Amino acid sequence: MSEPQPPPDDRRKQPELPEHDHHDAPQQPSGDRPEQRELPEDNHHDAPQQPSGDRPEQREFPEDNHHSAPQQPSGAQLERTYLSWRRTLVSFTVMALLLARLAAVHLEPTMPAAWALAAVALGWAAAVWLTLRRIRDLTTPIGRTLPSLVALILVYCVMGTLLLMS
Amino acid sequence: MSMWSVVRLWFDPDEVRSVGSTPDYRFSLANERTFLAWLRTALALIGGGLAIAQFLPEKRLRIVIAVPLLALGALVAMRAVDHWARSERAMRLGEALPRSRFPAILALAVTLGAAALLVATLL
Repeated sequence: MSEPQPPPDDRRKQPELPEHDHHDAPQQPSGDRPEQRELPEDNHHDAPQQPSGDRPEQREFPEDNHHSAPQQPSGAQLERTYLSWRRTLVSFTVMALLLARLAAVHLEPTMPAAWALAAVALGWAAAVWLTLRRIRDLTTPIGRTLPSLVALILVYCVMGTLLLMS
Repeated sequence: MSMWSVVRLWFDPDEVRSVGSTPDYRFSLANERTFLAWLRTALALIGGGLAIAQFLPEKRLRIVIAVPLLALGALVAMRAVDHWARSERAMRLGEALPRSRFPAILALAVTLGAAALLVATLL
């Protein structure tokens, strides 16, 4: 039972050096590397030795992140950042809703209330647009997204303070 | 750096990228996530302020609590983008990351505020 199983494994892992592998492996690590890139299943032995060799590949193919995540120190960076943006958007939405309620209750159903609600909705739409755009282009430099988001939050703060004081 | 160049650093991505070399993308993404975590802290403070502004019965107390919370949230948000830009710059130049007393100051402010509220409620 146990003997028929190893041969297929051995054949796949050691295609050229079936017998001398144990002795030769430490002596020619550089020769093994290109092969291992093509066969990520064989990575267990050398994984800690070549974290930098895999990095450029990830940069070019960020979608492959999930598959190779357990073997690489980079982890699911893009996924974590993506989720972080989503969480922030949820927080932003809660704040926008609270501000909209404040405007609606405080100003009663008048023309200024409609303007205030429109401004809140516009700010929220801008935040959604910024977030979605950033999530889409997560691998590119960030540009002005962050200060724009902060500016939106500051506008909301000023609006809230003015509503409270009025 | 003068204050004006710091402000320019916030809003001009080319200014940030003009120095040093591009760091490992994982560090940039980690910096971005730290910024987003600070932003959520700011949003939580502002959201708390807005909630107090609507659900606390007494008007004077409403303003006394809500306005400082809104101001604190705005401060945290601005400081978040400042810290992000400084960290990005430091990583590009290979320098040590900027040290900051802000987390400690924020913790102290929140603690003092909570203690003051507690005392006000009990009295």
